[in-house]
Amino acid sequence: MSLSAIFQIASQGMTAQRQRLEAATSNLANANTTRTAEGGPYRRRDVVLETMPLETPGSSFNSPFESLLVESAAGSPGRGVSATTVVAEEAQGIKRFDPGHPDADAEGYVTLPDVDPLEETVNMLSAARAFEANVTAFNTAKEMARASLKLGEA
Amino acid sequence: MSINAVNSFAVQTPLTPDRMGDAAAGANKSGSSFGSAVRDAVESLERSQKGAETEIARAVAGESPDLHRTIISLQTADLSFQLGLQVRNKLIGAYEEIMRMQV
Repeated sequence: MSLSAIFQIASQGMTAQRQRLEAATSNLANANTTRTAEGGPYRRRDVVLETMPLETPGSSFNSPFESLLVESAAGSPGRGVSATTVVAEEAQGIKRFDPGHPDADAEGYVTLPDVDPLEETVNMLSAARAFEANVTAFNTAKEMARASLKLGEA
Repeated sequence: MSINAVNSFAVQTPLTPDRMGDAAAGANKSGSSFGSAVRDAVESLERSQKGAETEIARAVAGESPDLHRTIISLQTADLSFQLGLQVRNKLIGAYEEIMRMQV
């Protein structure tokens, strides 16, 4: 496990948490949306995380000096993380009686997204804290690298 | 540039009298000389700084979706620079040590 691999994993973790925050924000913003491009009310987004192999050193992570630190990422098992945003399938929506609403059905009920603002707020906080945890892991790795560079100086 | 290049410099050019002329004359031999070791180090540092520069340019142009990727590449370039600096210090230290030698 090289220090650069830790940087990559932390980076992927931060990206994943950003996507979770994105989904939560989207859910909050569309908590009352009754019209979507695919028809019907908005359906809440959820983020599914899965492990993924580390990227082979690409544009942002390659420098010749680093080749000292980077192990070959090819063929290594998945240790990073990737996030996929999915639409919650079980979402039925909440029916509210509002005959004056343009999107009300024949009986006068409007289907609203079943977004729970409280749940989304908790998701938001959880994503922010997890992001911070990744930042801390990154900083720790960098401190270790700095300490290694200072070996033998004292 | 790799540490191996520095190692091979040490191994391939022991300072025995018959090899000293070789080392001085063959300065352009496949990365084994002191001069090319330093030059390789500086060139690779420049490349890592350029990589960070590209990331910043992408972030400023709005092409990079993740701010943290930019910052991480900056930090990585910083670490590479620190590593290069340490290697340079060691190389220059060795050079000065040799230059101070009484003949």
